[in-house]
Parts: sequence; structure tokens; C-alpha cells
Amino acid sequence: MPATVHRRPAHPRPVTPGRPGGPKRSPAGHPERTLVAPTRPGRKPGRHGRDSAVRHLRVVSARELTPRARRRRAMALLIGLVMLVSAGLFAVVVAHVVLTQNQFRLDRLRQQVATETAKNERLRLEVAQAQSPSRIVQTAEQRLGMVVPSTITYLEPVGPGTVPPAPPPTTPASPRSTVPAGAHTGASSTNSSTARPTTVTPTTAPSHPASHPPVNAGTTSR
Amino acid sequence: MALVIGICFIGVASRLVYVQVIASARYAGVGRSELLHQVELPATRGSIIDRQGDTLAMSVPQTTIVADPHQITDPQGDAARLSPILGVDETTLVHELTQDTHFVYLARQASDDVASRVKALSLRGISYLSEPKRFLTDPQLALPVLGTVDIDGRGISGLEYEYNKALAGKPGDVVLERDPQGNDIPGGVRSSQPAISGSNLVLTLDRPIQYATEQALSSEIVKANAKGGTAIVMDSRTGDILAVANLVAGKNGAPPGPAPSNTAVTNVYEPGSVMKGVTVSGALEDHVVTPEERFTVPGQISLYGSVFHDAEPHATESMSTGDILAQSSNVGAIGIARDLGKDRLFHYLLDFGFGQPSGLGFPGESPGILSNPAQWSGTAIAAVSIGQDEAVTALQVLDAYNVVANGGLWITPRLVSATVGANGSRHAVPTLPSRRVVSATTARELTAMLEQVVQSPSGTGTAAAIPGYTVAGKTGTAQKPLPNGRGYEPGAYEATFVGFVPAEQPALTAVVVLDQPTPIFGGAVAAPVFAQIAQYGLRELDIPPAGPQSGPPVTSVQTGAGSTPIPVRTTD
Repeated sequence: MPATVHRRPAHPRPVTPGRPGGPKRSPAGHPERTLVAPTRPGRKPGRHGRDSAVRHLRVVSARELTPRARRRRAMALLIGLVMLVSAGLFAVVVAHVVLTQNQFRLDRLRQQVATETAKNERLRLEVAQAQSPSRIVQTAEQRLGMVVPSTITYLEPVGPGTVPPAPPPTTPASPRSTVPAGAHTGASSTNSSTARPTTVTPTTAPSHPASHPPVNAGTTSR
Repeated sequence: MALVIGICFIGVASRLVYVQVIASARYAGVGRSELLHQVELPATRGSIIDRQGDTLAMSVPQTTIVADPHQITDPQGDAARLSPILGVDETTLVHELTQDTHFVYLARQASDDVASRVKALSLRGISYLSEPKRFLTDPQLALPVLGTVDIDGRGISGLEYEYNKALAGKPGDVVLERDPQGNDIPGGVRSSQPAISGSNLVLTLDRPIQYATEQALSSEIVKANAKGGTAIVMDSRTGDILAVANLVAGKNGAPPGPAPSNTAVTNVYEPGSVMKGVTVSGALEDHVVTPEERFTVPGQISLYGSVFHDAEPHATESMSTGDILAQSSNVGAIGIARDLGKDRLFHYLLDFGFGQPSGLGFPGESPGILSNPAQWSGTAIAAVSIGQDEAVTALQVLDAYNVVANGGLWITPRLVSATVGANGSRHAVPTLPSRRVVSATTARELTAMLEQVVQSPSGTGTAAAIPGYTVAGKTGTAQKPLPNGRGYEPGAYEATFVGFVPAEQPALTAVVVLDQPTPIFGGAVAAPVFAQIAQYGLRELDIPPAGPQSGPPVTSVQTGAGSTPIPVRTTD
């Protein structure tokens, strides 16, 4: 047979003053009161005999704590506070470390930026040096085997339906030109409205030979 | 016992009060001075670019290697390892590394290669700074004009010197915290002011024309075995100098190299016959002579005991004003000058820009030497009228003939067209106003005569002709005076050609001067160089030839609709 939680008290206690078991506890705290305190189940009779001191009694809420518990609580609070402060300090230190680490990183990145910027400038210089006329001429003559043409030929476009006049007698070569860069054919367009001849020997961009290698404007056709 | 403690306590307390309260500023200052460090942030020097935007000179950051001798533990060993990389001998390095200082330069503005090799050694006490170094994109092009900078990046000659303030910008500074080893503490920047980059200089120079001019002049110097030469090319209408070449012959067969200065404006010489253009212009303007007027010109003339004769001996002949110029007759010119009178001649010399600075403002520019007519001797008028007894710069000669090219207006020459600030703002260099020197009629008349110099078979400047274009100009062959100024150096001549093209609407004016060439004549050595550089310049500026009647090697090409290939006949 399973045990029941609540057991009936073995017998009700008789209420008699002066009993050696001592007065019963009651809400009013008066030893003369004849209230029946709830008995803890399973409490054997006769144990009341040991309670001899008079206790100050009051009603407490379920949540109120014993002094010991209060002390424990205070201690817990203190520890908590200390931990909080420590955590705060620790956070400050961590923040500082992170800040410094990032500052290092920032400085490193800034240094990198400066280095790359300097590298960019040096590359710009290389480009500018490669664009210099003497460098272009040197490359054209030595590596690409180009030569400066000795004569300049002007071409004059003539409209359709007209017979082009016979070429004029060969004039002596134009002043010996040792001028390397950019010698190329130009066009004379003074008496026709068409702009440049659409034909012929290579004429790339007319000016700025420094940015294009000089073109061999010899008469071998394209 | 308590008394002793009390006394000590009072001692400590008073010291505390002293340090914290009374002398706090001093101690804080000491601390700051140890902690804080002020570093100058160098400003990037502005670049120099040509009229098309191509860079001629620019600054690039390089690594400067410095050492803190107080941290060098093994100067001998370190010097031994650094010496081959830096190219400095060991004893010098040891001396530097043992100085009693915190800072010595080991190598300034070293290349990347050198810097990385030094860094690879990981030596203690070596640190690196960034210092800009000036580079020319072409090591010799227009070097005397651009000028040079010193090790600290300050301009010391040429345009780098003249425009140093604009180019230099303003350095910044940063105050930061440093640890005892000298390393920067990250995040310890107290204050910083950024550097302001220098402005870029935009020149009127045209790099391709500059290169072509230098090449043509260089080969003529070699060919004529001259000591050196100068050539200037100018845009006639604006006075913008497109090219200025200053070369001296190389030693021991080396090609000619840049002259030590911009001799086109810093050196003076006696111009010779080119001055006759000014003499005749003055005479025409004052209506002392007319273009068609004929003169009886003997082969030589005697004046106050000095004899002046023409370059080519001839019997007395009849010459027009134009002939006198075309054949460069000294006697004829002297006659015209005497008709003009010395005061009027001097007036025109000044008006044409001689004897004074040109307004270009180039450092070291010479105003030339022209003495006051009140001090002229009897023969001075003769000498001056044919270009002796005075000293001029090549630029002055060019400017004078540019007056004729511009219909009688003086145009101030210009080398810098604008400065462009670091923020991109462009400030154009103002052009000075022009002034009238002679009337347009006089200019036209003189131009026609100058054309004859080049076109007429008996003209002295036929070698300056350019097929397809009409060239107007004047030759000059003048003896060089002795260094002591008394008399002339035998056999030493300066040959000049100055002119403009196309004559009907001048676009380019140029002058070429050769120092002691063989042959000596301007028409033989300077005129062909003029033709080459002017021809190049005309193509570069897209100025077409005048047309078939001028006789260029023009071939007509039939263009037409349809797919037939277009025949091309070219002359060679």
C-alpha cells in the first residue's frame, strides 16, 4: 500500500497550560493562546520538550530572508558589483587594446597607402620618360628598325572628272632633314573642299609625334 | 622616532607641492619635449609641363636612409655591409655612424632598389624617410631653360629658380608622440597640418618642336665644327616661345650637349648684318628711303679713317633698297643709316627692343649693350647700323624681326603660359600689351625685301627656303670681339639667320645662331637649320603650304566615287 503524503496526526494534541512541552506557537505570539499550530506531518510527540526559550515571533512574508540569507545576499551583491566593475575595467582595457591594435593597423595601412602612392608616382615618371622624344626615337631606330624619311611629299586631292596635271619636275630633296620625330606626309588642301586625301601613305595623327613612333613615310605603298 | 618620520613626511610633502603645483609647468614641458616630436611633411613640388600637357620635369618620392648613431652598436660591421649597396666608401660611413648625434644622412633620395637592399639587412638604428627627387623626363631636353634644383629641392637655376615659390608649395607639419626608441606611437598624433602641393607650371614650349630644334641644331654644330649654337622658335602672333635650344659642342667626339645656361637670353654677341633689317625699317618708317629707291653703292667706304667694305668685293653698282638687304651690303646699309641719322637710328634700336630686357623675366637675362648716341664716335653709326659695336641676345634679334612679322607691333615673348594650383585652379600668366614700333606699311615693305633675301638667286639666305612656303628672313655673319673688347678675334665669327614663315601670314618666327662655324656665313650654316626647324614646326602646327604655285613637291591625286583604286603618284 502506497504511503500517503498527508498522514493524519496520530492523535490530536491536548492543550494544557504548564505542560512541559511548552506553549504552542500561535500567530498572536501569546503563550496563553490556544490556537492549534499546524503540525509538521510525521513529527513525533515528545520532541517539543526541547524547546525551552521564549521566542519573539512575527509574521514574515514568504520572500523575506533570514539574516544569514541576507548576509549571503549582500555578499553576493558585493561580489556581483566587484565583478561588474572588474568587467568594466576589463572592457576598458580591451577597448584600449583594440583601439591601439586598430591604430597600429591604421598606421600600417596609411604606410601602405603612402608606399603605393609613391610607387604610382614612380610609374608615372616611367611613363613620362618613355614618352620623351629621344626615347621614342631611340626605340624606333634601334629596336624597330625605322628611319627618318629624307623627303616630305605633299598630296593634293583633285576632284573627280579632272585629269590630274603631270607631276612637276622632281624638285631637289627638301633640306636634308635629320629631324627624326614625326616626319610624315601632310596634305595640302588649299583648292578643294575635300579635307584630307582618303588614300595613301600612312598618315596617322598628324601632330604629337612624341606619342606615336615616327612612321616611315617612304613611298612603298601600304 | 615620530619626529623623524614627521620631518621626512614634511620633506616629501613639500617636494610634492613643488613638483605638482609650483614648477608643474616646467616638468610638464620637459615631459612634452621628450615625448612630442615635430616632423615636417614635405610638399610635393609642382611639375613643369609643356603646352600639350606632356611632363618635362616632375618630383617623385624617394627613400632617404638615415641612421641614429647612438643606436649603432657595430659601426664597422654596419659600414662594411652598407658600403657596397650605397656606393659610399667605408671610412666615410664609419665616420657618419660614429657621430655624437641622433641623426645622420647615409643616403639621400636613394632609389627603390638601394632602399630595399638596405632594408633587407635589417640593421638596428637605420630608419627611412621619404624625400622627393626631381627628375627630368628627358635628361637633356631644354635643360638650361628648365633649370635645376638643389638637394633640398629648391630651384637654383632657370625656371625652377624663377618660379620656385609657385612650384615649391607649402610644407605641412605634424606633432606626434614618439617612444624612446624613436618610433612613432600610433594614435599619438597631437596636431597635423597637411602639406600644400606646389603648382604646376605650364610652359609655352612644344616638346616635339623643342626636340626637333635641338636635333637640327646639334647636327649642324657637328657638321660645321662649331663651338655651340642657339635656336629659338616662336609663335609669331602670340610671342609664345615654342622651342629654345642652347647647345655646346661635345668634347672628344661626344654629341653636343646642353649649354650651362639659357644662352639664348643670357649671352650677348655682336649680331652683324641682321641689324640691317632694323636700320632699313627705321629708314622706311621715317620716309628717308623708299623700297624702290636705287643707290649707288661702292665696294667700300671710308669713314673717319676706318674702311668698311662689303663681304664680297664689287665695283660700284646700283642697288635698290631691297638689293641692299638681299645681298647684305654693308656699304649700302651704312649709307642708309647716315641718311637716317644716329639719333633716329638709336630710337629705332630701342623701339625694336635692343638695349633693354625683353620682358621675358628669365633669370640672368641680359639687356644687351647699346651705348648712348651722345657717346658714339664718328664711325659708330656705321658700325651699329651693320650690327657691330653693340651686343644683343638671340632673343632680342628674334623679337625685333617678330615686330616685322606682326605688321609692326612689338609682342612680348613668353615662356610660361599658366600655373595650375594643387586644387586645379589655373592662373594664366598675363600677356603684356603690345606696342607699335613701325607702321603696317613699313612692315609689309620690309617683309617683301626679306622675302627677296631668301628667294632672289643673289640673296644670302636662299638655303632657308622651304618648299611650298614663302620664307622671309635675314642672314648675319659677325666677327666676335676679343675678350678684352679691343678689336676682333680673327677667324672667329657668329653666324645668324632670323626669319618668319609664311611671309604672307606669319605663323612662326625663328632665329638660329652658330658660334664659330665653318663655313662662317649665316646663309650657309644657320639658314639650313632655320629651314629644317621651321618646316618641322609648320607641320607640327598644321599650317598647310600656300599652294601649287609656290612650287612644293605636290602631287595631284584624283579622288572619285567608285571602287577603282586611286592612283598615287608621288615624287621623291
